[in-house]
Amino acid sequence: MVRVKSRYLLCEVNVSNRSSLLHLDDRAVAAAVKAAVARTHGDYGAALCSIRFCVKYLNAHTGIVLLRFPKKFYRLLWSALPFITGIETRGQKIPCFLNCLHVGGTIRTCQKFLIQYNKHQLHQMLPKCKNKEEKNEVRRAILSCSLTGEKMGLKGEESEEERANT
Amino acid sequence: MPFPSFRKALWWSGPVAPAGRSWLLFYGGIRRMNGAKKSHESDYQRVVLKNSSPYHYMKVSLELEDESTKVSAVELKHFIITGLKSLFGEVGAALDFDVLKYSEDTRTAFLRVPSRGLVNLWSSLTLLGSYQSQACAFRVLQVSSFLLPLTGNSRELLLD
Repeated sequence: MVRVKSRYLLCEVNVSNRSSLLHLDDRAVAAAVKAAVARTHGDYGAALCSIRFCVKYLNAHTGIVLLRFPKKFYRLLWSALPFITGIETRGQKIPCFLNCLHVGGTIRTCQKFLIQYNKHQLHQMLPKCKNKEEKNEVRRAILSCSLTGEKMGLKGEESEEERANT
Repeated sequence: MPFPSFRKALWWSGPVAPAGRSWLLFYGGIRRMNGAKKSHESDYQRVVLKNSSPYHYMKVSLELEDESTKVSAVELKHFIITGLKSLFGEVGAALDFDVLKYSEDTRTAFLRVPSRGLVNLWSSLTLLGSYQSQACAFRVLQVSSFLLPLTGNSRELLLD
């Protein structure tokens, strides 16, 4: 059996001003990626980018983006990502760059990686906490992402949001 | 003496020679068996090259609607680069091809291009449709991985 294969790129949007992340939406990210690909790879790249490219997931709180590319051309399209210097939304340009964390064949593996990654981030955050409340919050978040089963993905997202709030 | 290593065994098929002299690897993928024939080395040498040419050479001619238009070599190269840039972007425009020889009268040029960029260059030449707002076309006359075959062309032979 043959099926359509894709590559999912888990990227992190790095911004200097964290509050500007909330202005992001998936259409703006997609437009930025398409523009970068069109600039670096011309009409050929732009055509490849229009085949099965889409932004699958965007978390405006943490700046996590999941991009889907066709498997055959993902390296070519991936190479254009470092040339993104800003994302334009609602008339204003947010200076940022995309940091690719993980390349996976399915969304599931990306989600698993993201949970691991966020857990690691929380572990690093724990010693840096200043007061007790923050510490308890982080501890609770770490415990919550150790749950396994159906709600694994949901818990991961929750812990992310908690990370953003702390 | 123990057998040198498994890796060497891949290269060496013959009586075990002293380690370090059992095989030689030349730059460019030339493989030469050495050792047993060491004494006859000066007699003859068989060298097999596989895909040895890093470049491809193209003979192209530019056809224009208005035949009297003058196109200099610099303009030609710039024109090709713009074509590459529109089709393959900034990455494609960085392809290091050269115009080796160009005659303005016939607008025929010899291009040298790295082998991996041949398809890119060819496709962008194909899609170049207009030069200074007049219709144009590139005719690829000959392509070869060496320059020597471009001296003769069986297509241009005169038949009575």
